[in-house]
Amino acid sequence: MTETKDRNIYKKISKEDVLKKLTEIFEEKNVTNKSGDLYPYSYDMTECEPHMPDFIVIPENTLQLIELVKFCNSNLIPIVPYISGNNVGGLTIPENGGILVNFGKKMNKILHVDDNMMYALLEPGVTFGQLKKYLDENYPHLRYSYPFAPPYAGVVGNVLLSGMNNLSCKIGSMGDSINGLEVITADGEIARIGSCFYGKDEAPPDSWWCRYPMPDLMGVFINWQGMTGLVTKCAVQLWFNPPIKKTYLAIVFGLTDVAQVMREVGRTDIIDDISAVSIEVIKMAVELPIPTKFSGEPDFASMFSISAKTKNQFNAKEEILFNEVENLNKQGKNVILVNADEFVKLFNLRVRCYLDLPSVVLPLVEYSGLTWFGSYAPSHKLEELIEKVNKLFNKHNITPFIYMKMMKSGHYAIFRPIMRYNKFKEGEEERYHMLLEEITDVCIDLGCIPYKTPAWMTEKMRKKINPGWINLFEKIKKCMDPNNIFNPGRWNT
Amino acid sequence: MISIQKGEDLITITLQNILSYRKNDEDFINLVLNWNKKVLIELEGFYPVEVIFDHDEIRFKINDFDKKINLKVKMGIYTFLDLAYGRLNPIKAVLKRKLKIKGLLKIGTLLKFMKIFLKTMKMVASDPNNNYYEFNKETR
Repeated sequence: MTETKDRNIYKKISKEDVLKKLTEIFEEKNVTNKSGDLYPYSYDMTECEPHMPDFIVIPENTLQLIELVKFCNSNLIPIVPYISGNNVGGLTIPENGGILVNFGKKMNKILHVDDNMMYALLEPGVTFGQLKKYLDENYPHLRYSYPFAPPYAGVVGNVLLSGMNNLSCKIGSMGDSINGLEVITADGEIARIGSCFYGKDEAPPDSWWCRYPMPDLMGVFINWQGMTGLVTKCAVQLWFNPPIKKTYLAIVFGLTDVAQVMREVGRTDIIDDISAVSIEVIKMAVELPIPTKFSGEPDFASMFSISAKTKNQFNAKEEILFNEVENLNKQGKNVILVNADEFVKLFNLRVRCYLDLPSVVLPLVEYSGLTWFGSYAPSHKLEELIEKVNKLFNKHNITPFIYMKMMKSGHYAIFRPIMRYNKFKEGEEERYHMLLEEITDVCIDLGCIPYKTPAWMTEKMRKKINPGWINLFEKIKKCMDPNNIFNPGRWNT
Repeated sequence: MISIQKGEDLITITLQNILSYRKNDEDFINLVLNWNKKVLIELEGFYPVEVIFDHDEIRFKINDFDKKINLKVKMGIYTFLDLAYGRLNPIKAVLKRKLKIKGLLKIGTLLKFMKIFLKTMKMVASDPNNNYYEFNKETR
């Protein structure tokens, strides 16, 4: 059983009285402090140190949460928000114990889809699979963007942490497409941010259509890993779902050449999504748990998704893509571009897990452990990043698993070396963590900014970040959460 | 029942996937069983793979090829896809030199290979199902 860190968070109130209060707020059936119930919330797939929460509560509405926040704030008890526990950064491991709020069970309603202004208003527990199904059945002309995450992962958690998605080359990070938030601040007050900010009471469902032009208070909550308040509603942008969609697979020879390929194709401004994975990753999807790269095989597979409203528009986009790849080949690159649907059917349909998102991506779930260095990266440094990180994988005799994306037509990139490992094999966590630390050092030195960061990684970042930023960050945190009750420990708070 | 070696490189994974499609099909078993031939398939830009039909087994080699190969087939990836998806007829492909075959005169071997490989490839390509788990319900 996971050990509980030595701490004293029940100075002001006894655990028994906390249980009593929680039962009063949420009813007995929605509160637990039994160790068997708490245990699954004490760890995640990563090597981040496990820690038990003291209570789990399952909220049904915002009023309960207001009461909870007020109670925790006056008694200095930590609150950890939780949706499905699929993040790869130990972000919902309650480092200091306290109360874990499981939004995934009951606060998981799609409150409104605005067909006119193309957005969805969600409770925090809505999952990607749920949203996709709902849109497909009720609004097939609208689409959302999906990350490399299983259908049971939460939407709101991912957007608040600026996850990426399968329209990233067009729209950038998920954090960019938030229209509005409803949050409970430390004093128990409800604040609505975005165009929904008019009015004293509930905002009309059709008022969550934009984020600007008022001072952008959303920045106080996005990427803060739940450290500044409890988000209870989130409006996310949807997009027109074009009838024509096609994904091309670029098979790229030459270890670092994929970087230029992604950059140049990104700049064409016609692609919805550009991602690339080490060739070993393609093989991982077909039940080769420790694949090796053979001589003569390409180094990377890159996927380019195109969509269009009409055949003519599609043909024009396709022509631009073909020309770009032809130019790259003339410049000495070796890129083979094929229709992904056609190729995958002959290669192995399992690879569709990379194409049909959201899906359970086999390579990410077949081991008991999963960890990564997920980062926003300067795209002009990708060559150097690939080369150095690949060397590190080889040095540790661990199969290279590099995942990259080109964001917002090439303004920046995502660079994400991933590691799967056997969590329960003696010494494995330490071995993989050592590689991850080395990768982190190299990538931060090259300017990468990790996202969904575990505390040990933010500790490294803090040493590099300018002091002014750190001071401002601390001041905002202190102002928003004077008693440090919101997900304490994140970013070393 | 035919046993097919598990592929570990991109080309043998593809060949394994294609040939496995019909591994329980009686016509396919009759074609393959005791055929005992070696065919070298090369996708231009990649690397050659030796496909060994040996009694009730199909195995692959990506180096140390046998000296005696019964048939050598070479094509580009686009020809491979065009043949699979019916956009190109194999005879036209040979005439246009898109499909290069060494051993053309071994008509029996060539025809059997066409039936084993090209026909299966077309069957895989034309199957409307895109869901792995529909084909492989036991692994669901």
